[in-house]
Amino acid sequence: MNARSDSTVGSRLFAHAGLAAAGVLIFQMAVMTSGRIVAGDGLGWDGRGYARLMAEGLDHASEITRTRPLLPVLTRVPHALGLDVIPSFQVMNVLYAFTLYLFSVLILDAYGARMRVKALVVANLALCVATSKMFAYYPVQIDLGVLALVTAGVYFVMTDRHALAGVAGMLAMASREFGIVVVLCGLHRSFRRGRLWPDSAWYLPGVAVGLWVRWYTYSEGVLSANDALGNIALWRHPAFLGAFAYFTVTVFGGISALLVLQPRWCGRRLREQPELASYLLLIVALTALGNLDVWRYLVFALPVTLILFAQYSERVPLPETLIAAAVTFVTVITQRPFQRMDQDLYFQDWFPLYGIISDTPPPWQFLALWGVRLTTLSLLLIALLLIRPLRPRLHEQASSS
Amino acid sequence: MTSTSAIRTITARDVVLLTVLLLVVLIPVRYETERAAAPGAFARIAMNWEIVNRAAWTEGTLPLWNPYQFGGRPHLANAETLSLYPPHMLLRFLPLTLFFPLSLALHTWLAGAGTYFAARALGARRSVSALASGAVIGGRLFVPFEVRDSPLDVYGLAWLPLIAVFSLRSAELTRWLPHPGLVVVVALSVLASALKPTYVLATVAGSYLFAAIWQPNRAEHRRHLLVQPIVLAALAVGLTAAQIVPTARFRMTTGGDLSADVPSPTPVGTGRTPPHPALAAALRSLAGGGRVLSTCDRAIDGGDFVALGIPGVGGSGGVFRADYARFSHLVRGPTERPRPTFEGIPEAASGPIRMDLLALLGVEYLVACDPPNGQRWSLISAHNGIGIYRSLVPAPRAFWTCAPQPVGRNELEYRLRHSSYDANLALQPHLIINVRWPFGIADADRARAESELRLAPHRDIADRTWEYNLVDRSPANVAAIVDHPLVEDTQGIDRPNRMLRHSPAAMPAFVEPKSEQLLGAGGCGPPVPVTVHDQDRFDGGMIVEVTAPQDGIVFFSETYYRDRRGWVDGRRIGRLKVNLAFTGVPVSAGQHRIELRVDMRSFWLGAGVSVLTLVIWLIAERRSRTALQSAGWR
Repeated sequence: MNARSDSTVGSRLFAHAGLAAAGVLIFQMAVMTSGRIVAGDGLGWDGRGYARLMAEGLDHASEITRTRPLLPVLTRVPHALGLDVIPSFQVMNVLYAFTLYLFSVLILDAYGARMRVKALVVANLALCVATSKMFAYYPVQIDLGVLALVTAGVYFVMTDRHALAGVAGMLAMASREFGIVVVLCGLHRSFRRGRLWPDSAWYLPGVAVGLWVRWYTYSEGVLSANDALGNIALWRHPAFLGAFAYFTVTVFGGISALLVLQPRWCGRRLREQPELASYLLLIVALTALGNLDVWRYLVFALPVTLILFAQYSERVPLPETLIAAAVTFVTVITQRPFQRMDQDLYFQDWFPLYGIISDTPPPWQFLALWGVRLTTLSLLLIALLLIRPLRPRLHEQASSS
Repeated sequence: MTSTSAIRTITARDVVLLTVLLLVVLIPVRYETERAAAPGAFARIAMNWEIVNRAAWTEGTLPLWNPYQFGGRPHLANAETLSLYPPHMLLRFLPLTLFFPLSLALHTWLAGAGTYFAARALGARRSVSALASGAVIGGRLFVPFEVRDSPLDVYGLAWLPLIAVFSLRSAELTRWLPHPGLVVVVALSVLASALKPTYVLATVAGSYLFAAIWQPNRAEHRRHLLVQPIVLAALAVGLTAAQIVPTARFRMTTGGDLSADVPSPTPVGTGRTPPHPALAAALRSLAGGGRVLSTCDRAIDGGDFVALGIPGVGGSGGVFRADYARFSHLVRGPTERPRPTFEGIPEAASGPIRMDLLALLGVEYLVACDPPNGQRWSLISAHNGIGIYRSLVPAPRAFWTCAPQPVGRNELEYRLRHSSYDANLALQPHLIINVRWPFGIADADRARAESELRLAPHRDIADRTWEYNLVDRSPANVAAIVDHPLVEDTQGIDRPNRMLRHSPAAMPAFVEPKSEQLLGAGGCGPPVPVTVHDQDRFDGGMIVEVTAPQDGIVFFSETYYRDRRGWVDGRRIGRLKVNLAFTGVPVSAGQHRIELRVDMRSFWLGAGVSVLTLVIWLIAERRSRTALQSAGWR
């Protein structure tokens, strides 16, 4: 890998913090324009569990939310300072967003991306549903915080700061079951580099914390292995396949769309860094076994996406301005970042499978809408493909020769 | 190719491609025209606003007032009505059912063409530009007709690609004035999006940032990237001031007492059949008279009133006085509703509607699916099982009465909720008793008994037991209730002694500023009707004449808005906000001619600012060009 030295990263921290702050500004624009969920008096569905966990303690949380205790407990800090429940979560989301964008920039920096590429990525992430808008509309959530912890964890893993990665993994494990990906990624990298001791040892506390949290908080009703296997049946439904494909392409707007068009190039990069491949496989597997919230699981693929995008942007010669505009254009078209949301749009645009895979067939307008969206996405992908002036492989061959 | 040349060098191939795109977007117009004939709830909102726009222009006046909904509300000041949106002003000669589909098609094409030019400006090939344009058009074409009430999403978005194109081009001009095209499209986009600037701001800021980061600017020539957006904002605000100033004034003078809540569209996702032709014809004949209330939403609701040209108390969409909605909830009876949304007021057989308050809303006609209380409504006509009824309680649009008394807000709502107006418009505190009727009693029989016994329905608390406000509390009437053959049992009456067990509850003490005006708090004689000469005009005009027996007010069942001013005998006079939401004009004893008019000063002020901005901009633009030419620039 071509990660940069710690000193270089440190000297750029100020500029990177500025970029992260700019991302938070865009996130705040989404907060101002997206409206607020009305279900559960603004708390949402899972949000009610998180809110009760935060305000009343672990025993009052729902079966699922009590297995994710850390971030709601942290939210007690702004709550104790006098903020109401929803504003407390909103303040924490700002903190999570800043952390997420900062570590995204640091990952890009570690892989040699230039400042303009970092700005492009941060702007696009702040315009995406999965990394911004969802939490603007539905603030009583922890996913943004978990994503920030996971991204930080992967950054430390890939820059071989395993002690810090272990801490991030431990915090992530105490926050949500998805934290396991940091631990496994770190262990894989340690094993691959033959540094079983002491590098891999840093991840053991994370494993222990994860097991302890699950043991302490698990109760009937949480997704079991049988449930997960049962969810495989969803793959027989063409709509699930379609949604899986659509959200895989669009989860990070133009960033993911651009990378999806380079499967062989991405495959080669992943073979060079197998811990990223295993990370990605794990996320895809968890998404496949999860339920209908496809992109809410896929979003944890962000760190790997960032690494691939940084490498792609620096290794492949493209008409920069046009590609940057195209990436942002795809993001805006597919994410509709400043659209005012309501509950109907929430399920229609973000979680359409609940409408499609249900007892009552959705109205034709719903299906037609998604038909048009898939067509639109296809046109956009073709346009992206046509932009490329050189095949990356040819360019790499030319470079190596 | 750079953005400098992208738009100037439009080739024949570009023209052919854009023409093809135009033909593509025009294909659905015919189908959309059919759907426009039976619009759903949301689309009807936009169509209703456009009906008011057209009717006003036809009458040669500005569309200042919508007299058909929520007891009248400001129209032009509500930017969502797009009254001053130039493309719509140009298309207003088209039939309404063609207007909307064609407008959407042209805006869709605009979005596509803008995207095409934006891609070309960034150096994309024609094929790539066409695909991007196709993607945008494909997405825009599927804006459902039923969401046609959202100008931001339907029209505002269409200008964004062109804004991006002109922003990128403008960023290349190292001068402080933005590109003229940018100024024009931003101003149009601001109007199209009903003054909601989020998308415009994001697009302009994003485009300039993009230019700063990604385009090869000379480092010494970057100050204009900061100055141009500021000048652009000033010019756009100035040019659209004719809309901004009335809207800002409207928002400021209502002090946040507005609600944009609208009823949910029913049924979801399907078009709605227009009112039955016979019913529509019968209702049209009521135009110019009292207001209409529909309790039969499946047949007709407040959204239909505009199209039929009849005034109503309900409605949907846009902004209206939240206090008006709160008053409408008081009409519903004791039901508490925390959110000030306006919904249809139920009046099923013997429903608990407050007739005394309904009269203040000016409701004279009722459209009901089920026969209402025959003691209070008389049938005028019936069509397909849907009846039009006229109130037996007089509901004039304006009348003279004694001056209101200043009260606090909480006291006002308490007294309106816990008292009822008698025939002399004096507030009588409720005296609530319960009456149990025999099993299987017919609605008509119960209604007759209620009328005989002077029982005002308050709430249906069980199958056969009702809460009533006892209007006539005389011993004779109490005895009549006990002895009535249909009354099985009562609560609140000492039946053996035929005496009331309790008197009306004492009013709690309210310590609060007396900021409101309440009618009927003191003694007064019967209201004096006025002669209405003109009402329900699009300029907000209403003229009445009254012979006042003593000093008092003329109460108008017109929603109070600060900029709808009053003139008494040609002299402007301050009005009062009476009973939460209504207009009262103080008059002295004697004969007077009273006129309500919408104050147009904010519009003319805004229009003046717009013209001034245009002149200054044109002069500055000319000087800038002259300076550039003399410096050798082209």
